[in-house]
Amino acid sequence: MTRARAVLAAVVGWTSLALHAQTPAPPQFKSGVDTVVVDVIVRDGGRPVTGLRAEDFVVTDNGVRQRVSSVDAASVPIDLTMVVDVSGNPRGPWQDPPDSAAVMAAVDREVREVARSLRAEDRVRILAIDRQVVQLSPFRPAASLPPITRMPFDGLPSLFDTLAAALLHGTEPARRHVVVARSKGLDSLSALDAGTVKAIAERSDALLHISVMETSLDNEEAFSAFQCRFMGLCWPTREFWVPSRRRLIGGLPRHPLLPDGQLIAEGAQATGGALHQASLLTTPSLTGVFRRTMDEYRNGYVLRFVPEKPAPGWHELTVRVPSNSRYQVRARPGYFIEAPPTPSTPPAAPASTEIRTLDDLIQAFERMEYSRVTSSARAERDPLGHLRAFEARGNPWPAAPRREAALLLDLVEPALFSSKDDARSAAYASLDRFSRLVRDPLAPDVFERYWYFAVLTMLEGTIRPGATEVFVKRARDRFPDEPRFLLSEAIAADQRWTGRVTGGAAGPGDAHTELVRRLYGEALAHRETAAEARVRLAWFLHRLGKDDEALPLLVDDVAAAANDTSIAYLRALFRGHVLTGLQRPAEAEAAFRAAISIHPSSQSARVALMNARLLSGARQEAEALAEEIQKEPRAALDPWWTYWQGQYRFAAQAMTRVREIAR
Amino acid sequence: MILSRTLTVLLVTAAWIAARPAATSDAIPLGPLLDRYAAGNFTDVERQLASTKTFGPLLEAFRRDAPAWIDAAGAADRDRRQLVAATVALEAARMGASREWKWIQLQPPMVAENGERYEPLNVLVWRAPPLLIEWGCELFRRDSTPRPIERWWQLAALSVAQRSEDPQFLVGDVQIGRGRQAGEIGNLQDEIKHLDHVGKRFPAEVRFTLAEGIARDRHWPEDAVKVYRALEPDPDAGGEATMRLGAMQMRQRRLPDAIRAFEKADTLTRDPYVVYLARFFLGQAHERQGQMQDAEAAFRGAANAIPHAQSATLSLAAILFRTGRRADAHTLVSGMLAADPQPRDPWRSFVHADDRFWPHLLGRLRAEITK
Repeated sequence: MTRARAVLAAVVGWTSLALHAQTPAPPQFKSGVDTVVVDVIVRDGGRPVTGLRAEDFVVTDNGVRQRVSSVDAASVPIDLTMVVDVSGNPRGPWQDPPDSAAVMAAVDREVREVARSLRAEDRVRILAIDRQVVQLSPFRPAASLPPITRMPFDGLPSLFDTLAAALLHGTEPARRHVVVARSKGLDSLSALDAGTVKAIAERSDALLHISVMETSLDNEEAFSAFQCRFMGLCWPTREFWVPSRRRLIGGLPRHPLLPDGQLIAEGAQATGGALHQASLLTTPSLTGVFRRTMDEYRNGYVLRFVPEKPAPGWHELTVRVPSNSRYQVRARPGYFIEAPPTPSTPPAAPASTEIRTLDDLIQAFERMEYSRVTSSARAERDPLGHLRAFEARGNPWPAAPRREAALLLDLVEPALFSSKDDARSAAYASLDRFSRLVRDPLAPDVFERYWYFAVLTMLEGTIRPGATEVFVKRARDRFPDEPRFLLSEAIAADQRWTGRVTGGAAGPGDAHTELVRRLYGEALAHRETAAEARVRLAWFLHRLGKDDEALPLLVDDVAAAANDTSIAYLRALFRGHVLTGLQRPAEAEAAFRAAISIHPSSQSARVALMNARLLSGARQEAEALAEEIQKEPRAALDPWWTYWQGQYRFAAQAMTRVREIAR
Repeated sequence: MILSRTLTVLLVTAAWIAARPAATSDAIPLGPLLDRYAAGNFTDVERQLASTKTFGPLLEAFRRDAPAWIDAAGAADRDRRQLVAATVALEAARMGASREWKWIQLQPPMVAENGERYEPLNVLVWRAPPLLIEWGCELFRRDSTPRPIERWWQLAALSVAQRSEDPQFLVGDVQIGRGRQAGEIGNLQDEIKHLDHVGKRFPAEVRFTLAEGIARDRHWPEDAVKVYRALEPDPDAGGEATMRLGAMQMRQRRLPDAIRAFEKADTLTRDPYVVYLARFFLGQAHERQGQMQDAEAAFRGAANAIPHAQSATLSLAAILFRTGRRADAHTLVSGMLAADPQPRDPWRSFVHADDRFWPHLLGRLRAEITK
């Protein structure tokens, strides 16, 4: 059974001179979990009645009499929320707005005037109605209210949202929440409607009083009418927002409550408060409404009872003082008990340190355990299932969507390298979709550039040039000036023929030869890719049997060697092979030895040297080299082994950069 | 003829109102202002523009003094100085974007000599901010081929124009054919139709195409629908176009269509602004159909896309509160109110569209100036 949590307010003797409140406005107190707390004000004519005891009251809840206890309302500290409407131009339409300092000073003065009448134990906060709900000051003791130094104004009003935000405050059980709002009676931008505000008010612990600045509205209307009649300025020039004006009250002379106003008034009444309108020429002020509210409240009583039948739904209340028939006891008509909340999802288990599921992987990614994420994704036996689950799950980080695209790279890699067609197809489809999702709406940016680079390095690594070419084209459309993408295109073209013209084997055809030469030639023109393009073009020419053309491309490049030892190694290794082809064995051996000095543990240069020694008749030395090669641990990576995987050696770096930017 | 004489008097009056001199305190010496901006003292200039009450004198100063200032440093610095002048004009226009950009003046009925009664159409009088943009735009249009930086300036100009909430500046009189009582204007020669100029210079720019749809969204919905549908496959604007199409459909009470559009928009982009709005509107559509669980999920999704954004946070909190989850609702709202800085709420700036790009666009322009 749900524990009832309810509020009841009652008030007596709300009278008004300048104001004519829609209904009496009972102050209201915060309830406990099981206890209904009731604010009561009793009047004898215009005079508050004091000195009553709990047994003097008869309270019925849905017709059932309740056993009550009571306390003086004056002893309960309050949390006051003041809501001020600063929307719209105070000078009226088509006028230059006043200085913001003057507007802030006016609000500050009014707020301080209210705050002065609060007690030391009371707290106050200020909300402003403008384009946004603005909290000018959070709850704090009234005496320590800081000056208002920053305040937007002159925007469109979000009245309903601001009222809801004011009411949706959880008050401590020993305190009372009072909301006093002043509005121009217009709403343009709220996400919520008046009906929702009413529903919140009915269930709220707060006491809501709202006053409408009818004089301000009238002045604005009169001013607009004057402008239209005598200046011809009849139309709002801002055409986008209609129907955006939801009004609480109608025009002169009677200012009838319109449907939205009726709902707000009913909501205020349900809290024990009221919507206040002007009387004659007087608009209720924030301070005036507040003082009346407090005067009544502090002369009242707080009744408490534990409901006999705390069933969910509306509970009709009656409060009477039967001992004296002259007494006027006025109370809110009832209170609301919520239906049992829907059982919430059980709290998530603490994050597992082991990565077993996709959710584990996502959490590990969030914890920035990237190497674990990569190794887990690579170890996944069903990369296709993983990828599908990721796609179906949706973006885990809608507020930081680039993370999703970064994590996708980890998930897509094993699928790209899978031997299964469906896994690869799914990977291509994911990359296709994300190549759209990673785009910045205005222009290609650095994240997209690195993302494409990471994708291309992986695709090159799979040695499936057809797939690489699809994404190279997109990448180059987006980043035509990126030399790495140009090199990627060249490598993909090169990968289409990995053979060698030797022993009668056919070459790749003129068109292909021309394409590869042209693309590497273009990459040669860029500082970032020149060294690698030169080495790759040289190897391509060597495979075509054009060693004399290849050799000049393999000159030492100290600067490039410092940056990329793989390329430096390959340059020396290829130079050795090219020199062998040109029948210059001594120079070839020197080149192989140079390669070994760059990557001492690499196998390919040692094997080449061994062959060279063997051909030159140094059989014993060749055998010793062979022995040494076989004893060498296999852990060291030989750049030659990944030569055909293009720029895949940069994949990890590219992904790191993508993650950094996404973070 | 009485009629034409009266019309002339009215037009002269209107022109006088538009061009009337402002207080001397607002007269800004343009040269030093542009010098400071060119030197990278942006905040300084921004502060001065923010304290400006009327922009008429500044517009006059641009027209009168800026050409000489642009040419003063010779051909080598001409392009940069042109960008400086146009960008300062744009910043000034944005300062005035929250105020009225124009007057549409109702003209009194006239009686011709033959006794025939004539009701002239209204007269449009632009105020200074849109004319400052137009001044900058004209400056760029003198070059037959747009420079790359012009695209960024024009995108920034669009963002300012959309912030003003005035579609007339972008696409012309939205009341055309609807008569004087609706505010239709007669002096069509004074129309600016900014998007016409920009579209010719950047025909492939989808933001300008999308802006055509947004400007027509309310008054010419059929045109807007065509634009939105045409943009749907576009990788850069398709998500936003689909979301805006859904918002139109929701206004037309075609809720199932709207829901489909919002769900689709959510898959077409990862732009948090668009994702937020698609989910927020989806929540509203579900709410209107009484599907409260779906509404709650959609509002929660929106709040995940931009945490503490008010429209979705309050919509979600309202549902939680009404269904007994009071503590959750209180936590959401107190977090929202305490957020510092407060995130920009896409719903509150829905109509301002590309104004969300302003900081980025201005950054590009300023970087180019100091390069």
